[in-house]
Amino acid sequence: MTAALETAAAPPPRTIGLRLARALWKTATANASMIVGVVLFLAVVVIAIFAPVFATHDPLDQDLLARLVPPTYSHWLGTDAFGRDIWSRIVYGARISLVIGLVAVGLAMIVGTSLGIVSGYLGGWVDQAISQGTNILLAFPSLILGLMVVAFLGPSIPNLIAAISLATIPQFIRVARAPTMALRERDFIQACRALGYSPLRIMLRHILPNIWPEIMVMGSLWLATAIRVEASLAFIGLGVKPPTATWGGMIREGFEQILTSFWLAVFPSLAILVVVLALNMIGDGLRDALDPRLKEEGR
Amino acid sequence: MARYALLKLLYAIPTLLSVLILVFVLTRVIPGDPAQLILGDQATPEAIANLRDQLGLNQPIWLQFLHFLVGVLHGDFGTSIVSGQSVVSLAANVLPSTLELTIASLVVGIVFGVPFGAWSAMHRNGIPDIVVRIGSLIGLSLPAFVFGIMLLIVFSVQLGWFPVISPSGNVSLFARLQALVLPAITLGILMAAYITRVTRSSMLQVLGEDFIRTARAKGVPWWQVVRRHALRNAIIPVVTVVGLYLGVLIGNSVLTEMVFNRPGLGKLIVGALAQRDYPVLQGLMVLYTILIIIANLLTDLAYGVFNPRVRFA
Repeated sequence: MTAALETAAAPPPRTIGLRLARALWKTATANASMIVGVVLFLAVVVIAIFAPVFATHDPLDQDLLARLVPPTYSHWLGTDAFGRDIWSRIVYGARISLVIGLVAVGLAMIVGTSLGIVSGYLGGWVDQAISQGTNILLAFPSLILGLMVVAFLGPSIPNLIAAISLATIPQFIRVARAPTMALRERDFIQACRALGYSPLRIMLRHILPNIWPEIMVMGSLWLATAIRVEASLAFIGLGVKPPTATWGGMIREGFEQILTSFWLAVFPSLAILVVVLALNMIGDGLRDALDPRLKEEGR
Repeated sequence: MARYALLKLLYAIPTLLSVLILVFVLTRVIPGDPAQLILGDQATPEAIANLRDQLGLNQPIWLQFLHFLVGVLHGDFGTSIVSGQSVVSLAANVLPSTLELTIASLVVGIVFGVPFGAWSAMHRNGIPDIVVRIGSLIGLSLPAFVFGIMLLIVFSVQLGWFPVISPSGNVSLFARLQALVLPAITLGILMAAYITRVTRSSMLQVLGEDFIRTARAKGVPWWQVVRRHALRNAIIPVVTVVGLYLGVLIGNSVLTEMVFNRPGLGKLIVGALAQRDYPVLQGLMVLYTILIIIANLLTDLAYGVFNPRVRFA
């Protein structure tokens, strides 16, 4: 009897990894845009990690004899009003964008997914409370919520991370809660309960792996949004304080010289476009691969 | 329908209350003394004490919240410490521009999004589908200010078709519309991208339904199946998404207004940020959330119109 329950309780351990691996492979073969997305994003990550190698100048080094120089051999993407090298600033700016985006979304993923699973699995007043809180936060668009938090707390990397996280948490709660509610009724979870597994063990070992793919899709799509929101806040003037190079901040400064020196604003804009586009491509590709509706149709 | 509308209105009340609590809490967790922050380092202790008194910061926190709440209910959103004008009158001056922009970009979004989405779904994995999908992905990935700057460089600076700075005050209707074109496209592209994607997936789902096959089998022409059977059903999720993203639209209007130097709530916020005008910021936050709640309410109502089933639920 117990043995039968044990069998039922254990979702074949390899299925989850297999599901993801198979989905990834299918995506990679069927969806060229996802490969492009992954390659672009990895390239940006490598550039950010090895920024000193890729930068040709010190991003903060002012060269007052070379102010507002158009793209040339020594300054690939030109220089800004202080004579700082745009390419090098973009390279170092990638670090800020990626760190804020990854930490904020990572945090939101952990907090949001946990709350969502707890809410969906336990139900009752816990679910009521968490859902109500989610609805309130969802009433704010991420940019306005971020703006509010940063405006009142002050622009610093931890505050920006907190603001973007707060705006992203409800999205993960929503994505985790619904499938958890459906899983709770499935036989293998019922079997776990009958075996007397603790709720924590069920949630962590049996529910989480099953909703993980959906969480990953959300993660990549919201990482794109987080990077866009961070850049937008910096453009408004609520980014990491100058002279630190941030893409949004560079566009803000470049915008003042837009009529005479377009390269100041255009190149960091392209940098944002590349990263956000790459992440959206990855998220889309993952979603296509994991969407059961699309699977049934044999694609 | 009236009962449905009233019910939705009642549901908005707890949300509004919670949002007000959130705004209030946020404005009270500012590190340091707000009065000190507003007046700067050079302020005398008396001036700070006066301002604290004026802002009601010496009262117990629950009384402050009560005052805030009663004020909001009476339409008092605070007073600017820079200009001395009430937030409501400041906002009332520029609200029409922001609404004008939001509505215009919504129109742009629907006019481009729905047909492209449907077209893409009808040619699944064909060339139109691929082009539309790539286009919508790019539209989704462009921050509003990036696209706005590009449009500004090409059409205003290089070609000179549109003004670089939006005119304010009393100008002719033509000048007003002319100044609206680029901002509406900037903001509308984002909306169009979202709408295209949702229309596409919703349309794909509907096209796979049995009733479509039935309609085809009984000999209804293809374009009529699409127009009368498929699109009508596919549009329902689109309405929800439009509502969901109205908030995003209002949020991104801040960026668009900055780029095109348009008067509006966004410019008001940015100005208040630069001058540390905390009462105005707080008031505008409340105003923004009310706008978004109204937008959600309108969406729910539109949903009732498009989908008769929910009215009787």
